[in-house]
Amino acid sequence: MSGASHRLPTGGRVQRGETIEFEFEGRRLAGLRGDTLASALLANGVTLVGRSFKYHRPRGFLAAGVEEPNALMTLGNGARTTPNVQATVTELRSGLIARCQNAWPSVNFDLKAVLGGFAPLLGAGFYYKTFMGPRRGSWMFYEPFIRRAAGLGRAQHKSDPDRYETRHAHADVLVIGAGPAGLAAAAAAASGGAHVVLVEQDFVPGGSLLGTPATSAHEKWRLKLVAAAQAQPTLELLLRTTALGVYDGNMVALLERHDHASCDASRGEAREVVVTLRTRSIIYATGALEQPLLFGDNDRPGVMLASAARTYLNRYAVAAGRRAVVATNNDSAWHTALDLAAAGIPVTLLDQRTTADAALREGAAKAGINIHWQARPLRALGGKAVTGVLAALESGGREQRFDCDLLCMSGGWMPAAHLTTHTGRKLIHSVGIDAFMPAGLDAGHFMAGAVSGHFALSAALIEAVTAGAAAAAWAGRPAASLPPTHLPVPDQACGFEPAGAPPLRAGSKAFVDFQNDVTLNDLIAAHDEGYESVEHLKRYTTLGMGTDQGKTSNINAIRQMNLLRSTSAAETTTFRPPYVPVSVGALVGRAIGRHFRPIRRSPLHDWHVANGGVLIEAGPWLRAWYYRWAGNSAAEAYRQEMRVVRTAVGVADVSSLGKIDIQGPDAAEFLNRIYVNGFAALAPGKARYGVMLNDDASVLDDGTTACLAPHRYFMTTTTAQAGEVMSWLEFLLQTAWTDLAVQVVSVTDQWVGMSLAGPKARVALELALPGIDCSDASVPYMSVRELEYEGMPLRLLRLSFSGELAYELYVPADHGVALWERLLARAAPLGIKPYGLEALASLRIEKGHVAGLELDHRNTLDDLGLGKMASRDKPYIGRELRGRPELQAPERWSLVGLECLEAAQRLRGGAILFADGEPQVGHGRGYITSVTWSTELDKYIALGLYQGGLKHVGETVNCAYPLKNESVRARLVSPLFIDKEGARLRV
Amino acid sequence: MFEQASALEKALAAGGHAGSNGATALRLGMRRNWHLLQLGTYADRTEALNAALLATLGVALPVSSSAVLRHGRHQLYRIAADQYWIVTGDSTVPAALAKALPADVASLTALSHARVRIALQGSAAVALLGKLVAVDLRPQSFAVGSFAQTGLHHVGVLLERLGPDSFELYVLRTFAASTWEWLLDAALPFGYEVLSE
Amino acid sequence: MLIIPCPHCGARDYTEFRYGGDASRPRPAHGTGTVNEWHDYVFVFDNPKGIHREYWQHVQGCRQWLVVERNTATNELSRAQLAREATRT
Repeated sequence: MSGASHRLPTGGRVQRGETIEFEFEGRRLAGLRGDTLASALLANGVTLVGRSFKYHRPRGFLAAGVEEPNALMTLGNGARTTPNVQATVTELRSGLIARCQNAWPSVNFDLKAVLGGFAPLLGAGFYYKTFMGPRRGSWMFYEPFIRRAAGLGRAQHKSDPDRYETRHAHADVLVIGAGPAGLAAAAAAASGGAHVVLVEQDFVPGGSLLGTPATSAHEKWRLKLVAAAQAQPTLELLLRTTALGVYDGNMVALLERHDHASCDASRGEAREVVVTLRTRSIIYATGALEQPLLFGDNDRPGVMLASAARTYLNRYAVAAGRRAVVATNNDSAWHTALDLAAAGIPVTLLDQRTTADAALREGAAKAGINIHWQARPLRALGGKAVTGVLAALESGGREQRFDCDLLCMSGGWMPAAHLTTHTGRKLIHSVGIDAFMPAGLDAGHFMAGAVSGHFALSAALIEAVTAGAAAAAWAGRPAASLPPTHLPVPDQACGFEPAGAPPLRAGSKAFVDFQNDVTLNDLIAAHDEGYESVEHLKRYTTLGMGTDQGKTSNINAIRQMNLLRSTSAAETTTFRPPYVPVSVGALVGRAIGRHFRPIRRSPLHDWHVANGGVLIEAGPWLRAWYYRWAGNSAAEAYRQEMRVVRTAVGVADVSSLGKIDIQGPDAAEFLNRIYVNGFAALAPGKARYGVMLNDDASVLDDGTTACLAPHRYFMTTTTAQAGEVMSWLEFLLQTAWTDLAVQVVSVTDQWVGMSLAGPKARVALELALPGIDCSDASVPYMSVRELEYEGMPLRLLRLSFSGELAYELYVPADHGVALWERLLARAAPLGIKPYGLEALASLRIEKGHVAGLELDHRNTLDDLGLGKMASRDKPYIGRELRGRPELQAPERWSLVGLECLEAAQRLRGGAILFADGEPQVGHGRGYITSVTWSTELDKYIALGLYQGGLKHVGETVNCAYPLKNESVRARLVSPLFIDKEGARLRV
Repeated sequence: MFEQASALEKALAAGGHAGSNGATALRLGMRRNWHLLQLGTYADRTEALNAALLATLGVALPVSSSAVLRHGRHQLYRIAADQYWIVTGDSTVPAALAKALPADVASLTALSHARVRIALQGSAAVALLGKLVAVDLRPQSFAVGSFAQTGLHHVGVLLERLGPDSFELYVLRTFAASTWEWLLDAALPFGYEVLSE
Repeated sequence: MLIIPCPHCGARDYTEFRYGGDASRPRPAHGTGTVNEWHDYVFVFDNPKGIHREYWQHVQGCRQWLVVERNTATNELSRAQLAREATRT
């Protein structure tokens, strides 16, 4: 059959004047505008489009839409290669490149089809049952071969060059599906001015009406419905837009596809956009999906759903075959038979029932269709294409073979109710259609059409108008005028009889899940092995777990399980978003690379970058880690920077510290409650180091708070805890202490902060800012001065993190660079240099100051050697639980210093500490928290936590680092490595 | 004199970009010469506070939490039940208010350097904002003169609507360069000119 | 997604907020309470299937702390008020 054209000379909804060229399996083919890749391939006589997942059986198109399980192709090439794309929903466009999958060397001649011979070994749950010998663990030998042989498409590893976006949207009413029900509901809903968004995954609106002949009354009605919807000024129709999922709060995720428009990423054009739409009400008009019949070899190319054959014929003017058999248990497939016959294709109809709708029977008789009642297919014949069907006639009384190259099957319809269950709603079994429909919907959600389980068009229209009015009213914009609910076209006949247990021919496979190659025998085996619940069935057989989420398999599986178990009680497995596969790129949108998350920059950022500063991420911040003047790597540079601070003067950017403005008549009381030490009597002009605890007595943060004036304070926090502390202060003031008159405002962004440190710091200040009296008498240790210098506000704090004479300077952010440059220029004769985060963090270790690595929210005040700070005179947060016996236990791990005893080795953060001589097994007696090379002591030193703490000063320990197989000896010492008396601070 | 340099000097100098159809549907820029103060109130002191404000600025505190109160060169926003922003072009206001408001009547915090004020105008302004914030921007929900505090790429911002296609964003200074890049990337298909002030 | 009706700002996605834990029991007044009372306040609380009174802070908006009643089984919110007002009632 291949090579011959199957395009009919007239009819269809394709643009005959517009030819589109594309490539398939290396061949140049042509289709028409309005084609999908599938219809264009069929028009060119291509019926073999893939090999199945496990058995590599030849496969053709089963469907014409989103439920297609077989025709998955790899589109594009190079970095744009996309696997597993359904040909049935791919709009044909010029230059499209498509290849089949899972076949080698070609889909026509696939060597891996030999796997079909191993079929008995590859049944359901085979990875628990077969390939288990000869030894334990043998499965791990076979698994890679099996994995390589099976599968669908292959992903490639190049960066995606296309652009994807996400956006937000709002609506009053969302209507999902632009078939007859959706179009009517949307027009009704919008009539009173409600903002209605109508989404349709197809590129043409009309839904099921697109399967009717293009010259029929139904097509005229379709055009009228579309016009009526588009005439509503507040209605937005979004084609090529799939509803992926429904979430809490009436939020719906939509996927807009723009591939048809050849998007250019460099011009900002996105090929896919995920829209998070928030709506007041939702109308589900998602229709229904036809289901296959179960019979032997029902997966041959040329065997397809009856409605699909009808769609290929009437929408795309493509005859899927030249001689057809239609097998059905319901009325809807008769339309397929009638339309095929009208196109000149001889049709034989096998109906398992004893009668059908009268008008249909009359039409069939007139068309000369050969009808057999109580007839069922037993087995499809043919290999790479169907050649005929063996049928049981007279309820199995005799068998007959019918020749055909197109075998249409219909096992009834299943409402496409997946979206209605995403928020947790259940489906209920409807006996009349032997399928599932929504049991109930969330408030503000409505449905219309086949999704509700009522397949007649007349019912759909009434439901649509009712739902439209109800949804608009729910959204607060009632409909003003409703369209008539009288159906202007012939109705759909809905006669149906459940298919029951299929009679099978031995030696043939009846496929239930086409994509995952699950057969009826697999279901029977699962049942025999005790996997009876539908959840077990799914996971044991993998039925319904493919990219099609069981759209054409779930219901047949449940029907057969019920028959095997002789029950009628049933429930479906849970449907979860996304309704169709979606690119990860579309979900992420533009938040990739440099846009992955927001970056926080100091006001001095550009200066650092321009002047040899190497940056490092610290949470959302980029901070200067070290400067190239000091060395070419962090390990080299920080030592130089430390030396400059200890011997001359350095300046560091500390703008990332949290800064909080605290004001109010009760501000002093507020501070007094949150810090462990006293703040009530902190006088204006004074600053104090404070520690605050969580309620459970672990240390929350430390920082310095300065009193600028009565009722006005300036608090600093660590960089990492700034947000936590701010929220904590707001929590206390807004929940527990609403009677305190206090206001807190984050001013982290308002002020740039610089730490000027070193024995020459005062001289540097005098050179840079002459006129300020910064003598020890005027600006003593732990004091603050609020000044205006040359018109610029300046807060000068005298405090020290490094242990040297030091100041912190704060000026409004826009002035930052000017002040920084002035300091570096005017104090240059002193040898001033900028120093970075690595040196900043190392200097404080020599001084025994705890910082982020010690403040891990598990350690208490006493663990960190700060117990004496806690006031005995006033309550503070954490006081009560601090007194818990387990927190006061003497054997707790508490702060110690460590000196490395091995000159050729180094200490490492995270190393586990063991007492000298004891075996290095288990959790040890503590660990190292922070490490630095000490330029003062010329060796590696560290801070750490050790069981019993300072009681063990003088003892030797082993610092074990198993990740590098190291064990280094160290001595426990006081954490105050240098200047114990603090003489340098008070100069 | 210590010169001032805003967070976006370098970014603004990079200029505009034509959109996918060759034109520009947006004008983006940074506002200069304005002052921002945050004012915090204490329970039972509102009368005294309003009196002082009327005397100094000629206007009392706004009541609405969604509409901007404009008075002469001043704009007032109620950003929380007991917190307000005053945005003004009048550079004497900060000192005048500090003098007029005793510490027990209200708190005053200078935030002029803590925010960058971005102007966003043009026929694509609403479409652009739809990619940035989740606020309902339809005119019936966000009329001219409205403001909202919301998240933009995980960071809190204040968004104000000055006209059907004219908006301003107040963005934290330390996030401004990152936010500006995120915005320009979103604006790529629309095309934008950079406004200078 | 969960939508929280902030009394100051209106209905917003929960991603603009940070969750603040159980709000169903009062905090002992500052400086009072035995170690057992504080222990129970900090560590012992119910985890109901059903209506839960909890704190949320609108960190990307007005920065107000709210007390919200949320059904933990259905995610329906039945009430959201400013925390300072919830304490008064």
